[in-house]
Amino acid sequence: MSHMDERTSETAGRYARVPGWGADLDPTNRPAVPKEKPSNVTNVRGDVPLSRQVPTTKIFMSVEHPDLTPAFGTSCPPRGLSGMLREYAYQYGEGRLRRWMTLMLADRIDVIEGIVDDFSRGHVPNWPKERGLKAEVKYADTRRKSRDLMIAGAAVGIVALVVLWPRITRSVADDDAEA
Amino acid sequence: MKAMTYRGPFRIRVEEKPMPEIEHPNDAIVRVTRAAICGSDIHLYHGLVPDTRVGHTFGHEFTGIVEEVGPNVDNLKPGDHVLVPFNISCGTCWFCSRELYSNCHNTNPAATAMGGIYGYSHTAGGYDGGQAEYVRVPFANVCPTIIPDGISTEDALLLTDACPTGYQAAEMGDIKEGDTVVIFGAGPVGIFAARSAWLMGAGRVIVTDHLDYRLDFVSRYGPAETFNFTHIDDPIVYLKKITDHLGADVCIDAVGCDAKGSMLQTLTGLKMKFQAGSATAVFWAINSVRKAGTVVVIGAYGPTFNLVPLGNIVNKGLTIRANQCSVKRHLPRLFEHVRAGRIDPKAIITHRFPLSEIAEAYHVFTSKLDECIKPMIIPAAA
Repeated sequence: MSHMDERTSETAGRYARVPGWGADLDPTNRPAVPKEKPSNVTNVRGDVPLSRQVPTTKIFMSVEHPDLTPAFGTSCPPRGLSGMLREYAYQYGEGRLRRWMTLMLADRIDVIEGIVDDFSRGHVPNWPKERGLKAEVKYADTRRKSRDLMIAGAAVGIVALVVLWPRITRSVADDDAEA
Repeated sequence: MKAMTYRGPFRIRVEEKPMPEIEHPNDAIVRVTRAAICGSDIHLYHGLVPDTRVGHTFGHEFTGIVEEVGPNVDNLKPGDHVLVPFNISCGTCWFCSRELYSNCHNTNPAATAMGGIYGYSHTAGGYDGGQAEYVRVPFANVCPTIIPDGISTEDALLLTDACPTGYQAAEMGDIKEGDTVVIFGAGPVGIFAARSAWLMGAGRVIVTDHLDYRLDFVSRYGPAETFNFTHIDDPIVYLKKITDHLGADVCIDAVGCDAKGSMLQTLTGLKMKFQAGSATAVFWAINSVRKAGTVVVIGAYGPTFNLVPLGNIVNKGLTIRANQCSVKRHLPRLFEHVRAGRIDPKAIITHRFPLSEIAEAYHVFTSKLDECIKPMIIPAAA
């Protein structure tokens, strides 16, 4: 019996309530041991030639890469002002704040462009549906629903006040004039 | 095909998108059978990850049936039911050859700091994800794995990210017999980290969160000692007191950039975006681990910078371990654990939604409604 086996049997009783306790106590059972697997690959890019995906749309590339990676995603080609900002951002290295903050700004502009695009295609976004608010009705507890109702009530009150404000002020002015 | 699409922070919808195509000889097209929403999807959903474009399809946890393969794919064939790890890996570069699949250098043109990930913004390569009916799977020879006998589809789904990520977190802690392990966050990854810490011989496992229902779950599933940090004035002092005033041997940040608990971090990281998310969990981990202890960061953070106590890392002589999980490396051992009943991945699935109701699924998950721990998505084409 090895030292590890002795220790495990001694402590197994202590942890009997925990199924599988110590199954990977022996480091050799752990998939990452040794931490760095030996490899004869010396080149970061690997010594196996890989087929290269052909870009069919604009793909932005980090300036820290020497060239486009063999594979890449083609999810959403850049567009409009947000696309121009992204192109600007990708001129900078990954350690530069202006790269990331410009991308965040581009993301926000992209959202506005998405709304404009929706309306231009005759699609009116269903924001309550997009925010999944049906689940709020179905799953929220009473306390949360009360909070939701208060927020909704306050919002309706503010909108009503804004809409009716000219009429209220006109009415007050008329009353003052009559007096 | 139908797919979830991002429209802006807190807004998503299901739309018709073109069917994915083979764009590279090593690609496969997979018909999604199950997908899940990951805690890190919330960072995208909240608009915290740079270069998240309108129209992008999220989803990096999914299983599916191979529909079509490119000419270079020789270990999968149409009809195979596969689990697809969230890493997109070439299998040949310096990193992949050392089984560091999450650090692949050949699949993400947009950033050298991370490999390609399905449905995780253009910063992670611009690949559409699996919260859809079909998905393009690059380098299908490398990471996608046929679901073996004895592993259910729902177990396989959790083995694409959450379970191996929790397991790797515990493994990176280099846990020794009898160690005290503190896990910040009782979400899916924290739950699996707690379970895995015991497998590696921990003597005590303590989990903290602000949600009582999640703490209840992990106290049974881990099992684990738990405490709600919102009920305590100073969680770091509390942890010192319950660990003989030395601190834990290993602390694991299983939360990432959406962490609650510090007004300063929330304000500067989440509201004003002056840092790459809220670093509360890693801040607490550094301060509550013992001197010469190990801090593991497995939660996701943005690419810029965060407020963390660097001086304490130096003064305490800490070891910091961090990485995205290299899922494929862990699968053989995790299959053994699942078959032996040592880990039950599917037990954390609390909600099931059709793809058509994915906006509701995100709302339930992000708002922590109905005691949600893990929502699963079932496409109509499944």
